[in-house]
Amino acid sequence: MYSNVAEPIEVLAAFRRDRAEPMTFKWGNRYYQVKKVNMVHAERRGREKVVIFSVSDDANAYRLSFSTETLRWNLDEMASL
Amino acid sequence: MLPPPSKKLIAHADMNSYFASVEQQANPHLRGRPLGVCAYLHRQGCVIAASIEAKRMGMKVGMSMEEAKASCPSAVFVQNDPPKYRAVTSRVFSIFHELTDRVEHYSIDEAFLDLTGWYRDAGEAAWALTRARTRIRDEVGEWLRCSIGIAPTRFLAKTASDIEKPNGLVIIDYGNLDDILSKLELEDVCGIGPRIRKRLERAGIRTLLELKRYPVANLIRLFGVYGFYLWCRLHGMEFEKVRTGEEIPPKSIGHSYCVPDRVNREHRAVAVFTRLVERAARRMRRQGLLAGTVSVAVGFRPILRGASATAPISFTNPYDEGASDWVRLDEPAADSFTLVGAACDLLREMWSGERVNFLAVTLSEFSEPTNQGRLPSFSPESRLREGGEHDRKRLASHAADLIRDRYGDEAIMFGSMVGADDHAPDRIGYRKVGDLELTFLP
Repeated sequence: MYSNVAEPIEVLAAFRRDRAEPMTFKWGNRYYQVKKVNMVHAERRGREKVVIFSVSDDANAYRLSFSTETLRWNLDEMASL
Repeated sequence: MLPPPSKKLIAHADMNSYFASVEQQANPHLRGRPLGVCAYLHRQGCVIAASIEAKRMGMKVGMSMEEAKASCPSAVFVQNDPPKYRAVTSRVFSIFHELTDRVEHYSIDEAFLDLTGWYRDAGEAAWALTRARTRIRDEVGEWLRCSIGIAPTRFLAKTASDIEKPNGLVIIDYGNLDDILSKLELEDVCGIGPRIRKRLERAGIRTLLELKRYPVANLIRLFGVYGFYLWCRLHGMEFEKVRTGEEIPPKSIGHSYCVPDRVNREHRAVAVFTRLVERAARRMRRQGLLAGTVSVAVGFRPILRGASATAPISFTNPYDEGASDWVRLDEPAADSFTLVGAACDLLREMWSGERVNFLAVTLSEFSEPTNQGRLPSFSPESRLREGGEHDRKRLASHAADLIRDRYGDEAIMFGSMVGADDHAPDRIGYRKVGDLELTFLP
């Protein structure tokens, strides 16, 4: 169901008035357009705060994480039907 | 003397099929499908939450994944993700905290709210809670559903929230109390399980209304003080107030782990056990407490003649073939060295290297540090041995905690924990939210 990916990705994000959200991300050589941000939550790994975005497109769901310490994006997991 | 009927306004909010709903919120492709959230994705892994769709098809919490698949072949299973549930809980509870100053975090998915004085009557409280529920849907997730019960007491509020699921709102007052109790079975209320029901039935009590009308003196004769509490609860008399976080000191803190056989083959049982003790000790230190007692339980894998080493093991009762013991420390302690040492000594007394399937540790009899200085011993040797060592252990534990706060839980560990790898990962219990931090949207 879910598969671990744990790979760095490039992300285009929108900084809206009350929130920030990923719009498109590039994994490998492919671009994925985020259709919906379903949930946002934060995890602490020591002092580092990581913001997790559970997003989806028409086919799959993805778990993207943004480290507030390193300012890097990762694709943690991908869920396909 | 009997307590007077409560005039309070208590609400109980219960998130429906919580873990499964959060997973369905995070992944919309799981919505509307039968879903089981498991402790481990293994055929013996326990289903800890089932989605509303899965429950309709017969999946029950507590089933093994194998049983759940048999009852619901189209079900999808995912492994639980505690940080996600804690994050959602903290945001849901932060919305409740805007309604009143008295919110009791009863469990990861339930809260009691004392709304007395904040709203004029149950109707106004219902309106406020409906708005809170809308906010949960809009701000946290549209797939999250919440049942609400409003009543004069905690017991009746919890009973009310259980009546209509999902997304129900039920108000119990003294006017409709008998009517509602007449529609419920004995076991539908909190505090009555199969054993109490049998004892009640032996006394000729078959419904909640009969229990309510039963003479209280006879109930006390049958059940002792519990019978009195039961009677009071059904009459809407309150003797438990809504307690906020500061008012609920933990009685015990512990961790357990159903050990896969791989741990035995790789001789890592002690490493996993040390991790459990250290995690419990760290949680306890965060609350500024000292433990007086350390308890340890170990379950042994049954030796199956002619069966393979990987044969399925029944986890229904890990104590079937096992042992448990406890020790009271000479002096309450919080440092990892004392606690890990005491727990490992206990484990060694009960276990001599057999294959284990269950390990557990519990710290209890908590006290707060008195901050009193230690009187120096008379002889310089014992002074060095006792006082110096005590302080060294305490300071070393504190320093290790600071490192973990900065770099993560695995940044520094006991040598004996090396090899625990991904075993005994973070897990979540339904009653372990005393140390939950409220957070708002990142």
